[in-house]
Amino acid sequence: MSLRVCAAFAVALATAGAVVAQQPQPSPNDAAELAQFYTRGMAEFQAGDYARAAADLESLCNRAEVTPQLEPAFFTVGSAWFNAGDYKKAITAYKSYQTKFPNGAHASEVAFALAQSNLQAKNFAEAATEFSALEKDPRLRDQALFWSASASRDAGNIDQAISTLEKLSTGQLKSAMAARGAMLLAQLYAKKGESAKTIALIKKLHESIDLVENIVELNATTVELGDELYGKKAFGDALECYRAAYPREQIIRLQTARLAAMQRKIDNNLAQARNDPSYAGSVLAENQQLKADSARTQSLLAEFQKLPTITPAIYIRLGRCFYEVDRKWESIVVYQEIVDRLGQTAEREPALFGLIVALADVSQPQKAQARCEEYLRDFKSGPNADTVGYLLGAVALQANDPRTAETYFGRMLETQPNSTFRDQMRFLLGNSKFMAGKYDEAATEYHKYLNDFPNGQSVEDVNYRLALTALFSGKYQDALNSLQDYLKKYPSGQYVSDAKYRIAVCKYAASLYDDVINDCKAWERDFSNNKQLGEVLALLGDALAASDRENDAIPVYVRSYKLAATDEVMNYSLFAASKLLQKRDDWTHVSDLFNEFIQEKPDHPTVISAIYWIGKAKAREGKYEEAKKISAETIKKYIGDPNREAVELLLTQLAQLCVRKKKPAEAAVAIEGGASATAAPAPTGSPDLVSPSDPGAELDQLLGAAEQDQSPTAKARILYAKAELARLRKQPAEEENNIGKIAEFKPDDLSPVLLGRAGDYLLSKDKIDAATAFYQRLIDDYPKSDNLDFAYAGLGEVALRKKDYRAALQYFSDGTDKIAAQQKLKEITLGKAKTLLAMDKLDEAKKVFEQVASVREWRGEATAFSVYSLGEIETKRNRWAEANAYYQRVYVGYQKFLPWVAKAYIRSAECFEKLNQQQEAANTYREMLRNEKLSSFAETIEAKKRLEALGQQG
Amino acid sequence: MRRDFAFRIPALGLGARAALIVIALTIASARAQNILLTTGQTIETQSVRRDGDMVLGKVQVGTGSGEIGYHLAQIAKIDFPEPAALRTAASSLGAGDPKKALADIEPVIAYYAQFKEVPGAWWTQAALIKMSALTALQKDAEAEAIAAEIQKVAKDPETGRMVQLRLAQSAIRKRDFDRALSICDAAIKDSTESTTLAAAWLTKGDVLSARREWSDALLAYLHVPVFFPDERTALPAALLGSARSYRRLDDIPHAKKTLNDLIAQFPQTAEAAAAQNELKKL
Repeated sequence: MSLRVCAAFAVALATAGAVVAQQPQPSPNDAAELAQFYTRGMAEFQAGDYARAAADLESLCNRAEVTPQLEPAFFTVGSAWFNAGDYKKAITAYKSYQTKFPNGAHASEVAFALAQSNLQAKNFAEAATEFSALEKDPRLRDQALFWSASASRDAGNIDQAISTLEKLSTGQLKSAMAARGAMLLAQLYAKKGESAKTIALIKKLHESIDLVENIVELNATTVELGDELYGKKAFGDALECYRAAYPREQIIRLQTARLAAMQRKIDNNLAQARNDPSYAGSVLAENQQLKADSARTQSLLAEFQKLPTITPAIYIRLGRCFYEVDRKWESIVVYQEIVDRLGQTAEREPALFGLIVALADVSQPQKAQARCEEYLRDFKSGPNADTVGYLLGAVALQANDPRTAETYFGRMLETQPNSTFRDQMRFLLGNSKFMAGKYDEAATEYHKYLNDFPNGQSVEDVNYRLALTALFSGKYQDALNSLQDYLKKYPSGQYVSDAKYRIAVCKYAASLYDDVINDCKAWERDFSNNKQLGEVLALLGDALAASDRENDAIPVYVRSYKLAATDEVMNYSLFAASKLLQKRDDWTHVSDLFNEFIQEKPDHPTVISAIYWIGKAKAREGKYEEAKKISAETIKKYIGDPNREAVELLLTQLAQLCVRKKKPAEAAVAIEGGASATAAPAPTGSPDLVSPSDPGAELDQLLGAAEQDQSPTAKARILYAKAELARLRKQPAEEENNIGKIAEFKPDDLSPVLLGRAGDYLLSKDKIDAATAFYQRLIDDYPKSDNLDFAYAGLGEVALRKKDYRAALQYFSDGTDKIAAQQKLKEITLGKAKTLLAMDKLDEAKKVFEQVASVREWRGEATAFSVYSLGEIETKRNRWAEANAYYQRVYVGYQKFLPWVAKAYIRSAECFEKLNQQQEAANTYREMLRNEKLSSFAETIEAKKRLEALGQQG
Repeated sequence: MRRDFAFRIPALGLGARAALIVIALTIASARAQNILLTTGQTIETQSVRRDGDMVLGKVQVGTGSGEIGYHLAQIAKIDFPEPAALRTAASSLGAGDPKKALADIEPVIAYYAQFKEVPGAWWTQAALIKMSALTALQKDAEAEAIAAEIQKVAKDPETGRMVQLRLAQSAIRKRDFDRALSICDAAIKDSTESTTLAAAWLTKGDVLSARREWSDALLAYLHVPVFFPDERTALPAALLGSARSYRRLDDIPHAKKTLNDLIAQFPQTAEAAAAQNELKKL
């Protein structure tokens, strides 16, 4: 403020000497004295002795005649009092000026200075009124509005201040003062909770950043506003503020640029003044102002640079806001930046903790666990160490990894004896063991819990879980006792309904079916609206079925599926009812059952399977045409949707129906109905049945409308139907041809079944990369598909062929452990064994090959290969006799599988040679050469050579 | 000022030179091309051309014109106006039309080839666009050839990093993920330019997506909107990449939201069109 008045005085002073010199001379003494007052007053002002300067100049003004020439002196008196800090006297002096020189040269400056004096003297109302009066002067408008608003704010009239500042900040910001006003307005809006307006202003300021003199202050204001909004839980708005805040480097760069611009302006002004001295006064005054601003800004910048970087402080706020507005992945990005890239700052600990919580929230347990370990390493006694220790196990449990959870909880209970989470950790340690199927160990933990925390918050849970550990480990009597104890102890407990259901389960295990039936009926009376009712009815159905009351069981199962809370229970009961009906050969009711299901749940994924069963039922009833019609109509409805996995099931069913042999009358009906208008004459089969005239044409006709569906998925499925028809008609070339065509589609267009088949086809043609794309699509887009086996088996095989054994083992292991493969279990198990062998993990490989060889259902080439591989394992160990036994098993027991027979002969003879049994070796080669079926194998040529090498002939 | 050539009046009239000037006027627009000398002096010219180690500027002399020549070592910069084709080619690339981008940028490359090592020439910028277009068209050999040329010419390390990042895209296609990743990580570690950093994170997201490491890919993509929200060239692809990663992580609500944001913020881009399709699948 004083600098501004000083600048005005500089202008006044420039003309004052001339004024005094031009005054009429009252008397020589007076004139000399007045000149003395003037000279002294000037010198005192320049020396900064404003009070004396004011007094001397006031004496001059009081004694001299008031003339226009004395106008600058009157102005200067006010300026001197102002600079001396005596605002009352300044006000008096300025008012005196206004009375004497209402239209004086400095009238507007005086009006402004008067308003400023009133503001300083805390005469806010007067100041506001005086500033308002100056708004019309374009030169002073922005300043007047700003100071007027400041006066209103200081007077407590916030609404008035806002109204004034809104005038200043409307539209584009055009001056530094307007920018300053906008900053003040943003602060006032924030106080009033006007978040949207606050953010808009902050944005506007950042868009006009070149007008903002004090970027450090703007940044601080922005962050403070963010904090205020965060405190009010306006996280989205706070986020906007924090995102608008600059990091340290940018502030320094911008502020340095602003200082350079100020210096350039100063230099330009000087150059202008040199060129045109008439500008000197105003330009030099401006320079004085600029230099002062520059010095102030430099000082602020220097202070700012001494402070620790603000970037982590802004980032931690950003991270929190992202988290609060459910942009948790973004919060992870920000927290990671603080933790990994900003070094050892005060924010590292809270950022690492925030990171762990966010990672757990977005189900990234492994990443969360790694960060937990990092936290406990770097902040062993940190404020969140207890929570992190607890989270370490809890996250593993959340990820269904009970073994890891068990390790972590166990470790934390040991290393954090004073943790506030001991109670929960002991309980969850028990749960981890329970989840891992270690029921006895879980029971031990639960007992420890009851001992350590008899009043703990999980005592009831623990008591109940103790009963469950007995139940799940098959100790039904113990379970029964424990459950009954629980019911006595907690007659209104949270697990009463479940306990009663489990008691019935225990009785079912003991074959006490009548008791089960009574218990289930009682349960339904007690808990008629309980969500578990579907499950209880399924148990009731099971008990009825097990006690030869199947007629009673069927309607119970039907009720069960209708009331089931989960798909698992629903499917179980639906198909249990269907099985009982099938057992009675009651296909009409099978059909009715599934029809009713479709009516009840028309959008359920099981609908297509239901249609399949309806079709099957119709076929069993001899209603083939109806069966075909139902299947074809359903296919047409869903053929373009790759997510409907069961469409392929229906296509296979339809192909089966088309390919089946028909009774003559039936065939005639089909022909009359136009099912095969272009059919070739039917070959005669048996006297009663005729082969279908042209199943292909019939299939085309049935799928006619579907074939018009131009979606790639529909087209691929039509090809699949044809491939299935070819398979059923034992036309492998045609089948392969159609599957090959499916493999030409984009993976995006195919259903899970087709992805698997296309992948297998491509793999069989050694098109590894193309096959990978299909398998990968299957894994990525259909993680819950029943056909996922194809992807795990295929990708494992791809990795094995590429000698990426680690990846291969992962796929094969996941295939068995993670997805519990069924369709491709043989291939997956065999793949795992091959991989282990390739990795020289002989013991593990042997176990798996033995497993394959022992499965009756897999008997065939897989067995031959496994037995041969067991021989290879023994060969690697130089155990020739043991190896030989396996090879001999192959060529004796699996003669159908010639490639393995040929290999086994060679290997067996080699074993004899190693055992120095040359004659047995020669006999083996000769036996092989006698087998004509092996004559074309490369091994046969080798056998001849080896026999010659032994000095013998074939 | 040391003049190596005296005024040569009239210097024009030769067919080949005239043709070159015509190209210059269309590529570099009709604005004057000032030569800034290392001494600080500025020479206003109507057009410039290259002759061996010399740059010849056409200047007005009375009512006629003549050429004045400066050795390359004397020139601090030539103030060429920005060729409009640079923007049109960039937007063609953004709209998923690399063929058009290539057609747009070729004349710029051809004209600036003579000035490519002169500061102020637009060759490097144009060559980067050409390289991106070639990469998008999967013409990897040609892309690598021009990349080598850019790296020879460009003196600033940021251009070198951008070239490497474009090459990383070819490496991804060749499934050389380790190489692609090391390029991205080096740029992230060393660069201070937000454009380079945004491109590096975007490319890293692409590498990790190709490796089907969806959570890491998502985190890489999100660096762009979180830390470089003003990098509008990289944003559409980063948003599309993050939406795809969300989808793979089974976070369908966030996938949908990101796709909708992309369509709203960048409606004219190829990524927005792809987003429309992906939304239908969701």
